Amino acid sequence: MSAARPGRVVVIGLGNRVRGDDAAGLEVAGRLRRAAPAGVEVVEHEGDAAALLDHWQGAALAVVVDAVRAGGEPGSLHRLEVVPGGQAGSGIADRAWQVSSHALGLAEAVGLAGALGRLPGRLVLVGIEGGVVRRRRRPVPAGRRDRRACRRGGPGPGHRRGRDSRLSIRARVAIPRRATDRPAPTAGWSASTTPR
Amino acid sequence: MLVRTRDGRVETVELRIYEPPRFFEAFLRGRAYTEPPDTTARICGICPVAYQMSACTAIENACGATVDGPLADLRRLIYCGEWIESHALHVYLLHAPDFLGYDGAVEMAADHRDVVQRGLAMKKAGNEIIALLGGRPIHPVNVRVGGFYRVPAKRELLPLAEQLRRSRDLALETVRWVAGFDFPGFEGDYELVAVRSPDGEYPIFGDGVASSGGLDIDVHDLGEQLVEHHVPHSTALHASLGGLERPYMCGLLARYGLAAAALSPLAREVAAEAGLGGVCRNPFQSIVVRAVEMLYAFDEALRLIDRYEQPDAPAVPVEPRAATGHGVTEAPRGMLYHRYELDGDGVIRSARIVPPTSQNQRQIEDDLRRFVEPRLHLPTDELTRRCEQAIRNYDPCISCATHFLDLEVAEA
Repeated sequence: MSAARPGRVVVIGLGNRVRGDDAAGLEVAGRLRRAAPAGVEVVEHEGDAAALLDHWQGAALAVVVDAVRAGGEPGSLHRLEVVPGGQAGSGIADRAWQVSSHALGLAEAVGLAGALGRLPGRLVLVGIEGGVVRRRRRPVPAGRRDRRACRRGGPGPGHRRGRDSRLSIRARVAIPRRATDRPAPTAGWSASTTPR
Repeated sequence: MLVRTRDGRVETVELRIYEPPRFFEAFLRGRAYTEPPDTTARICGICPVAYQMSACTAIENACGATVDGPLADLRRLIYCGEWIESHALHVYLLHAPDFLGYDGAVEMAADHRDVVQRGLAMKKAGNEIIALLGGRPIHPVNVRVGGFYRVPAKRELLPLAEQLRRSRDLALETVRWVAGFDFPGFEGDYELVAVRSPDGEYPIFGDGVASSGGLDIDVHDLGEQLVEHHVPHSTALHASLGGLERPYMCGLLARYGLAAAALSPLAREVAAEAGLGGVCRNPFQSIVVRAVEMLYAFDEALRLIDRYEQPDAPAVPVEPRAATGHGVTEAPRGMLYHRYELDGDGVIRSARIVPPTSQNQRQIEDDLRRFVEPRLHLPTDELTRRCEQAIRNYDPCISCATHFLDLEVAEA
């Protein structure tokens, strides 16, 4: 275990700004940066999750916020606490945490940190259910999406394609299939954070 | 992956890639000639610099602009950062677990903590180069056609050099470590293809490509000589070069085989110590060559920083003109070709991008065909694992997924 500096708290928002709702974690971090109490570090991190090991180095508490896909309503929240030693937090093995558009995903970074003794004192993962994570899309607040859908009563004449795809989000799983998009392992997180 | 056999002989191997098309070439049509470095960087999270550099050189080629001196050195420096980062990731987190019998990096880390820490430390050093020159470690934002938006002062590079000097020792240890792995006896008579570097440097930038079989193609002719075609079993295009019937290999075995003499003295010495000859024809030993290239990239980065003097301007002017330009550079996993056709206002009329993984696809299938035949008796799980390792030799983009292969053997 890396020596935790007493009281150091870091909030890390993960995501990709040009993949729609995948930017949710960055959005949270960006807003928090303006509102965070003194002593709370805020990091916006795009890209390879291996760098998380450096970001949470020595923290007593690290909170990582990322978009997830678990089949719930866009905007709904998932919370998972990873306990060093692997006794809890089996949910990291869920498919929701396994999808990454980068070399190393969050689940692997947590697994790697656990194996290397580089987890922070406490690690809390907050997952925000994403809707549209297609390229070149701005994040869409779930509330606004709902209002639009109500107002229009669904796709109609004159709709642009992009808007239609936002409206129909609940009917489909929107993350494109990629090489890093893996089927979910079934065992606990400490044994199965390897990509499959 | 589908293997068709008849009487114990492998007839065909098909590697079925199902990644859907991403339409980047179509996105670029109608966009400004200044946009491809940023747009194409998004093609890959591991090698964005390669996409930026092939894009920049192709557009400058169309516009008749030349980027040289310290700006060219900075480009080579940021490219070294990408090689270090990508090679460290592949050696430590993807390929080494194959050789040591682990399912993946996490399992390996439990038993080899210091080793994995070493890999992460080098990867971080590569990140630092990219972050300093590119503005951030992934998808750099400071690269532009003609050079950079901002260039560092010499003094900004000095702390980086300190860090690189320390990390170079780790790269040295890496070569010695991987040289001790067990490699299957498997060699091929490959057509090795790499970028031709006119000034005798180890290939990163160049003005064409050359091969071990004597191909020598100017970058202007590459568009015609590099032919891509669809195959029914895969969404990834296959490629052929220079009218050759047989597949060819690009990537680090090709670079090493064609230009080992251009490595730094230290890298050459350590390669010899690791038992590599002037040419390495065993793709499983690519992990050793990768470690040697990583060491070279540290050496080269230090050489470039040492001679760097801050230029007067961060970029040279690049005026658009109606022309077609070509660029080819060495991504960590092999040569990456870009072509742009511009109109007089600098609007892109057409774009073409040929990445290394698709060029190596045929060679990977050919390797698998030869590799699988004497191993058909193995249980499917074991054969699958070994085939994954054989594919991973090429460091293809699909290697992100540690276990990605569904193997099907069909007896005729």
